[in-house]
Amino acid sequence: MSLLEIRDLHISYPNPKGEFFAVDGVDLSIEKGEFVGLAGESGCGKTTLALSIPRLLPQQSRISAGSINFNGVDTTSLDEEGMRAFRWKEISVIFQGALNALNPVHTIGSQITEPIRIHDASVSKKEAHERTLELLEAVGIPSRRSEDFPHQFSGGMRQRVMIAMALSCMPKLVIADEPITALDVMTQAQILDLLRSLCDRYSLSMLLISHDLSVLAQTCDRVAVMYAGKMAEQGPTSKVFGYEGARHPYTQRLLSAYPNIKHERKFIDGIPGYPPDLSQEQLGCRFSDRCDVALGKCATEIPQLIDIGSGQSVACHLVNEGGAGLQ
Amino acid sequence: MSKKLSLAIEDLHVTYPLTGAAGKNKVARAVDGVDLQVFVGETLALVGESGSGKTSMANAIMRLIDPSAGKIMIDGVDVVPLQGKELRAMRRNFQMIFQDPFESLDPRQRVIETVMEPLAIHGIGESEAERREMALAALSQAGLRPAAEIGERFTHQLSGGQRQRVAIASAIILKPSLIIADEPVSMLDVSLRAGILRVMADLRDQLGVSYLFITHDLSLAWMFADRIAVIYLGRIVEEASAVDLIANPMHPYTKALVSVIPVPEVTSLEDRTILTGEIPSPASIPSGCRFHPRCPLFRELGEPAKCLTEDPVLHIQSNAESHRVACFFSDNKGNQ
Repeated sequence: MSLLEIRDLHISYPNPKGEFFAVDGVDLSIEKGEFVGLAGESGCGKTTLALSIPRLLPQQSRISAGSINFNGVDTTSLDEEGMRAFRWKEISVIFQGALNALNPVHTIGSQITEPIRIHDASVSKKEAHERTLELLEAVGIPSRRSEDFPHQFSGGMRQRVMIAMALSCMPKLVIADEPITALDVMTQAQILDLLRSLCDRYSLSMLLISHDLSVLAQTCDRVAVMYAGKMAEQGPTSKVFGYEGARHPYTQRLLSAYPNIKHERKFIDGIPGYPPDLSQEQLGCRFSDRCDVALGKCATEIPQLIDIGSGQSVACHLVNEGGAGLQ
Repeated sequence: MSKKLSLAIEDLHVTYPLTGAAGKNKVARAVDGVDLQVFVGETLALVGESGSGKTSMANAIMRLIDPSAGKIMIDGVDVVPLQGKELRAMRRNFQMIFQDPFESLDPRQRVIETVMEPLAIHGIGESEAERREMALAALSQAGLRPAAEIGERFTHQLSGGQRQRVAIASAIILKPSLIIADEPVSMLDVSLRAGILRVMADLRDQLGVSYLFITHDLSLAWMFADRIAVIYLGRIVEEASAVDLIANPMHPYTKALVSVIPVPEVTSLEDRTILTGEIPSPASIPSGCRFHPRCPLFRELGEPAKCLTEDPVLHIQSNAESHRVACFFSDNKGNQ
């Protein structure tokens, strides 16, 4: 059984005309020890999906259908109290923007110690302190700096503090929401390597959210690409970025929006148009407006996510009809 | 060199005074002796990490801050000593596109007013109607069509991509010869980047605009620019044609940067060189070669004394005249 299994999840937000679905019937599973990447443009629902796992969504949101099965428990049926047993102890989050997520008036050490003590009353102050120092060393911060404050650290170092905080209660799943977005290239590489090695060392599962497919290609075991609240494509990294490559036209277009220094120099492509307005009813494939290979039925029939073999699945009528989707 | 220079920077220094506990009378040397040329119609990418001094350079060129030394020649005129009227008159020739289109535009202004404003300031155009025509043409050139309709909107009603196009329209309305673009697409969704860069490329091809394209993204620089200059701690460490710099980086810093560029495909991670630590503070620039504390080649060569005591200057590399490197040992080692 997978560590995490999300089935047909629907999450809605209210809007003046009723409600709209930021996540609209999404499946996603993560195995123990697996490193999964979640990609998509801003507004595609990737953060809503990810934060529904520890249920850290804004109050007005509503999980209206579907299940989130974590380690055998459907967490959607739990109340706030029940959920608290999962947050941080089982599922933790590395938030985007480390400067805003850290408390400026507390030392970094105390901010790592705090969740340990809150979530496990049996841990003594001394033990919690020792674990904090150990965690700091594990993320590449000298433990002597535990008494320093967030402002005394650079952006990259602060992100390391966030990682140590996320690991403080030894969770099974860590959700990293754009953990490297504001960092320099070299620091990005350092942080990604660190996440990867921590995953191996503590057999953690990781859900890494990024808008940057090239970052996911080099880090993840498997990738999932969302578009306008739905899953467009998912599969092993070696498949989606491999020889046969991505099959969904959206994933393909997204890939050609990045320069690739391993190939001949050419101008990057954009994707014309904008994602659909989700407050309107969506008929057919949500990408069909922007898709240059759309068929007649793409505008009227919703494509299902279909397994095309080797663990890769695609929600596209063309691919399902067998002929298209090749690069 | 028969080609005409759009921008020529000579020995530019930008310093910031330090205050408080950091020490009185000390300065941070953000730009520490930079020479740089951009030829007419050329795009030069200035690539560096945050804290490398690239934005200080942009601000100095735009005369938003005063350099502490050096010359900034734009179309043959040194703009550093210019003040008041003379500077304003010269400003027509060089414009800037900022990183954040959400902060660089006035939300209470209509798009058309935003774009027309520079014309009124510079007294260009006979009448309001003529200025309006020019602004509509600029909007259209920036890819905002129908220009008349979009022109009537307020900037806060536009998406990020559209705002950046408004910023481009405002930058080109005065027909400048040089545009400084500071991370013009880094705040935008990846699907929108190509559109903005395409507009910029068209302006280069049609109007002969020269660009100083400032970015932290080497692969984007490679894709968009003719030449790339890599800046580290206020100093250019390597400069070459975009293709040559990526295919054949010579400076250990550039080599490491190129090795960690993510590509959208499955690649081996073995060949990467991940530098440890971070760029030092410009308030305490290391002695000798400023890169030596992080340099893998320095350690590989057994920490040569030269790197600790002498400051390497940018010199022509033996293989190509246009490829210049500031490293004592880039030639004899590390280029396998």
